[in-house]
Amino acid sequence: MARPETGAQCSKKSVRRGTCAIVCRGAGSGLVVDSLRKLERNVKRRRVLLLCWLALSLAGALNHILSAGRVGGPALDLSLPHLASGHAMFVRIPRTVHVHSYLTPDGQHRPLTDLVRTQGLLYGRARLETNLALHPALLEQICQRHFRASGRATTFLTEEYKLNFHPERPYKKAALVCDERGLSPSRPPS
Amino acid sequence: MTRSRLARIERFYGALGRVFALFETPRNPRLFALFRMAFFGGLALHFAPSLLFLEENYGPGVVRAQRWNPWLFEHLHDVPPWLLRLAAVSTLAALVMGFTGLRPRLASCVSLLGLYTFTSFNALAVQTLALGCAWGVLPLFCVCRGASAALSVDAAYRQRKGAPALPAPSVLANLVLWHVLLTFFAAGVEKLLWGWPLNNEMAMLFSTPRGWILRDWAWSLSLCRREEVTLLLSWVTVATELLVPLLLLIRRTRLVALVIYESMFLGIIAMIEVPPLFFTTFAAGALLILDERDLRGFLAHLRWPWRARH
Repeated sequence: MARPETGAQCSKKSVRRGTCAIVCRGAGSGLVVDSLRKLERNVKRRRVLLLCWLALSLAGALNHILSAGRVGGPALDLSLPHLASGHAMFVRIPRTVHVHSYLTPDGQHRPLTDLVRTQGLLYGRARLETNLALHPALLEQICQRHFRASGRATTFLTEEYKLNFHPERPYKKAALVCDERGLSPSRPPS
Repeated sequence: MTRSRLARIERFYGALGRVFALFETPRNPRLFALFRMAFFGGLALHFAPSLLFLEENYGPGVVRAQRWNPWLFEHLHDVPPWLLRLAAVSTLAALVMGFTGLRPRLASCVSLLGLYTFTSFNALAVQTLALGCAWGVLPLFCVCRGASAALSVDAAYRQRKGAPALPAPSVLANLVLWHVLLTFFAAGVEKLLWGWPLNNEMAMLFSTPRGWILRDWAWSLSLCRREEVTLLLSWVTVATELLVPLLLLIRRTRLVALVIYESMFLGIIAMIEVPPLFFTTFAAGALLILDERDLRGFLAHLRWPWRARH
């Protein structure tokens, strides 16, 4: 905010809004006093907003860092959504991960994300795998939609990897047949 | 009366003003416009697939997940489809308005309302990593002025009408910068508390299978599976997250710190499948640290051909 300048020309509208850095001609008039009050009020309002915002974001950062399970501190529910999980960036990779794919009619492996219409741009596979890890029921929904659209049975493959134990090859493999009945187990391909 | 009041204001600006000046200094409007476009563009890319194919994630009987507002999660399944469609179209239109700088405060309020409602209805359609920052920055756009000071429809319209230019963003730009850098710094502290860099978590990242989170070219780099390389990357990551926000505050180290910061985010988006919104918010957010003096020095450093000609 600019500092008040003596002799600055202010339109009545800008003074009324309190947006003009004042003092206008005719200092001492009621108009000037009134607009100075507005200026002060605006500055105070802005600074209250600033202080609240800074305090809240600091509280959110500390709360998240010190929350239970990390260093044993209390986890407060600060209610505001941006303070819920804003500071986590790849802190810990899960030790067991699953990779999903399907077999095309000519026997090729394709990522399952090909069957999802609303895949994320530039991160479709990661988004789908995260969603499937948190909500396995999503696989059934993908199967139903795919079968409705294509009308043919498809084999879905799930490979489980243990990152602490030979991560270069799957620890477990599972194959599920997706047909009109939904997903049902099948023998994994060799 | 007026003089004493003026003196009070002078004092107010003098003592307290110095403290608040850090957050009240106007920032370069063009750089902020770049951030505005990156942020709203990132939001549009992030949400467009799920908002365009509504029935995929918000139709009857779909698998839903609760992540944000429990009340909205419980109550929105009865909403008629036409109303959902209207909300989706309004939200996307608001994102376009934000991107172009057409009434950005109104656009941000509508975007915030729409996006928060849709993510509360079903959190599955969008990954949450990038959204923490979005929930933090959108309310700032709603409350503070100055988002459309440059490279915007509003600014172009005012210029055409011959009206005075809009004020440069001050509080808005500084709080966005604060939000981005605090998040970045806090992520570093959090890593430290989880045992980084000694636990070599990067080795775990690079041992994930193909098609999980690494891009194919990064997965095929055998160099990144060597223990010494992953340990070095762990150290570099933690050191960057803890030191760069501080080095950005010092003018002499600002440019180097900014190059390291941007390189890190370029490396992340190039190697790991993360939402583009995550990249656009953080990479463009830190650029706001550059003031006019930095920019002059930076441009002089580059010695662009067009500058040489003039």
